[in-house]
Amino acid sequence: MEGADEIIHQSTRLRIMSTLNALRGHESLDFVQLRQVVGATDGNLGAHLATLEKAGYVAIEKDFVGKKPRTRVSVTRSGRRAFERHVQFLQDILNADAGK
Amino acid sequence: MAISKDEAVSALKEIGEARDKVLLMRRYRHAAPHMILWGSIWLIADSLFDFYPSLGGPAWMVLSLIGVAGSSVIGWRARAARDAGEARAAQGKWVVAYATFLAYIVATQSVLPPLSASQCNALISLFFAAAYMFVGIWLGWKIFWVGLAMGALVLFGFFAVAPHYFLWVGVVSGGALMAGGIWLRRV
Repeated sequence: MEGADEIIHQSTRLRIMSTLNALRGHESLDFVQLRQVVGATDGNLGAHLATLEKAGYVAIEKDFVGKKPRTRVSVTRSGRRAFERHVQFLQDILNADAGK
Repeated sequence: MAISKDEAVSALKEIGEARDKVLLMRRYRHAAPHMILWGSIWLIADSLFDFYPSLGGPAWMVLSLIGVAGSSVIGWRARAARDAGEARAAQGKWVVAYATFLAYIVATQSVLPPLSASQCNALISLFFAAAYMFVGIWLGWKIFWVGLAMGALVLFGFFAVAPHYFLWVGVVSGGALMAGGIWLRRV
């Protein structure tokens, strides 16, 4: 059984990764929409995204729509793999407990 | 890092909830541009009907064909962004849906006694309001509420604003559909 991913397991980061992982292919999510789904403040979400970006789990793109700045976030391939490993780890805990 | 069984259950629950939220949000985001498009068509066609009754019928025919083309493009672009194969498979669905709707209108007109223009319009408008409600039951309750609002506004206009029913239904019910689309886009 592989160990827990400490970066992903933190509650807000787990919600961020779960949300981004549910997107298809190269789909990304607007910062505002991600904030709504995750239920975090701007500063809190920004800090956790920075941690995930540093780990290479998410990609953050900034552009402009007209004159309005926009931040879009997507999960990277290594982020998806790490998330899947972490989910498997959680399921293994339940399976191990059920086998006792 | 040690994780207890309860923590694992709680984390998996959070993961499931986040996935459900994204699926619901995606459905709303896909429905929104169609609702804004058809709300605009409804607004223009029925307003024209009120001011120029002779133009109303042809306007509906032309604008509804534009709507079918527009919805096909919106659907195609949304699917192409995810999967080109899926986009090709879905290209003809709006045309089939439109043909089904026309067949429904012909069928209902053949079994009903002759209807006035406003009765005919109310019948079609209520059909679509009910369709949104049915779709909303499965895809997301916000779509249901938009359909309910549309239906209630159509009925109110039919009975309470009869002399300007078409203007009412165009501006208010069409406007409600557009507003609903804008609302869903922001969810």
